[in-house]
Amino acid sequence: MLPTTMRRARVATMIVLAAAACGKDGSGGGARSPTPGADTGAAPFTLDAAPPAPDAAPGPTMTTTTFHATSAADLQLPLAQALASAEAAGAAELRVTLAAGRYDGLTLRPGNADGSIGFVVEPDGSGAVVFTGAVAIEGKSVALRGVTLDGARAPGTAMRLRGYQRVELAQVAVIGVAAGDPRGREGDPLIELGARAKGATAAVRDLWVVDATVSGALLKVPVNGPGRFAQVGFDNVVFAGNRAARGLDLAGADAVTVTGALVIEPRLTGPWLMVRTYGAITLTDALVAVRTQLVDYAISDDDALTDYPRLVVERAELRGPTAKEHLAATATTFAPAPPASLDTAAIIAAARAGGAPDRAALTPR
Amino acid sequence: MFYGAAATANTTGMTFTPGSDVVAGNLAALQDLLRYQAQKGNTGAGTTQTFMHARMSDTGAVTRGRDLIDQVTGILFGMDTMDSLKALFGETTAEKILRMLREIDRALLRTTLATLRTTLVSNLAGTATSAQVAKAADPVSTPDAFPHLWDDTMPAPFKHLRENLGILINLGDDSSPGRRQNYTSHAYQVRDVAIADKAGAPLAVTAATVAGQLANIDAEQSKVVMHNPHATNEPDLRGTGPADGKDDGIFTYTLGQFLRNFDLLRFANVAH
Repeated sequence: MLPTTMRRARVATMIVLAAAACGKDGSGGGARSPTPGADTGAAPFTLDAAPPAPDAAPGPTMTTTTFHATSAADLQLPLAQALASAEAAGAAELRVTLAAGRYDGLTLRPGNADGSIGFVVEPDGSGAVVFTGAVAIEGKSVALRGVTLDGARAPGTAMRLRGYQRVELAQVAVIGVAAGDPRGREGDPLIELGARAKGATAAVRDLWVVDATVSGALLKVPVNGPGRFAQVGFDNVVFAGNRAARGLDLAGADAVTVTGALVIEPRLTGPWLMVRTYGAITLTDALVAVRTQLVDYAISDDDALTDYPRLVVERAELRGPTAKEHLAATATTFAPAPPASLDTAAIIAAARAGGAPDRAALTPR
Repeated sequence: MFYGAAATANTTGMTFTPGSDVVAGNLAALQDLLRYQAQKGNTGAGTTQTFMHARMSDTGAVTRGRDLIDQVTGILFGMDTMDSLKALFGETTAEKILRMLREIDRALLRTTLATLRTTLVSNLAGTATSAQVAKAADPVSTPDAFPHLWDDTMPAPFKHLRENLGILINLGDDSSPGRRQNYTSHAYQVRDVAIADKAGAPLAVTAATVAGQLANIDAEQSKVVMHNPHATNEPDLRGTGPADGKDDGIFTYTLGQFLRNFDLLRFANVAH
């Protein structure tokens, strides 16, 4: 007899037009509490969805299986069985919807490890979805939307998303998470975005990372295997009050854009940007307040600082040491470093409330 | 040594919550262990070879210790009646638990466990050092001082706490001359994985099929062979030497021990 949780979980498979399955920008998921699914529109898959109009333009078809989880136990055996069934049926995508509640963690990887299936993980719209353990998702394309990691304790990296084509992290809050062994020397990052193939892209928007403790970077884009991102974009991201060695650690990407960042990180022990790629990096419409360095570059015996393009900064406010920075700044102001302490209560409250960060309202004066 | 893009590294966490099914709660880790077992010997061109080690974090050991103390304390001191113990463990075991309690200094055990728990909580809050944890764990872990912990006919949580204490007494170190289970923040190579059923018979499971076989896997019959890369310091809770008589760092854990006493797998897939 199946466990209760398996009977509660619902699995549905259907075929939809790929063009309809993805939003115009490739997104299409729900939002985090308090109004999940309210502003981006619910994903268009329903069991009774109307078939495409007969005169619709022909396009590639994509089989999507939907798995609905209502408890932490659903994300163990029942989800594994749903994934196996989806792969056996040749599904291109497994969409995991989560009922409001707390979940221990999530590991989602293709059983055949060939990247033939993609994953979308998002709330079902019934309320806040909170993870208290690590989330690791790897697939053809990976999207994690509208969830919170709140107070999670992860023995390694707390959130790892790896994709062969596209990685999306949207409307996600990471609050008070301890990752790796904070007193260890292993250097695990809090969040890792990985490309499993050359030319993949990553999009991060409306991400909050507040009050984390980690011995490595807050977010790492590593070189790991043959994959490499052609483009990684950060849009409306908040990093505040974290204890870490570095902020963004960028290696496996040819181009990185950061737009609309609010960075208040007086407790970093190293730079907010650690650059290990010769690709272009731009920082636009940002406020960055640090006490160490804004940016540092991985200089070895084989290269020099001049091998790296200057960090392009446009319309930004930089608070902190700037004398040694390797920047090309325009319409940017410079100010002294922030105090060593930061009261993150207001930022944490805003992160838990969800939605896009309001940089002006959150900036300490 | 592998260069360039040949190796793809990954990690998987392992969880243990006292009282829960440690096998069912670690499906992803089991899949990784089985994938490793299938691929570790692949060296031919066009194949993928996997390398793997496991480690326990300081935080993981301390958190599990705290939770195990709660579980054991609940068994020893949280049940006032014989009936409640009998209901959980049966009459014979219940009588034995109470008889052992009468033979030792109950107040001392209770105080020592409470002191250790307080120290563990302080450590998690950052106000007690690893050395303080090790010092507080030492009197509880002394062989036979508290006989419940050393009698394998006792309910499993006693053994689980005994093993955890063997980690805590060395917190902050990765080598030591005395007693030990395994160290924290120390990488142990995984050498061999053998999955068995309740009768001890080998189970033919793979990463792809293990989800459907979870109920048939016996955590104490299944084995994981490990290697301390220091080539010494195998688990030795009584301080009497390696269980196999060979001080080479190689030892065998049951799958249950493995999942309880490590909290992270690190592995790399190498494309040859």
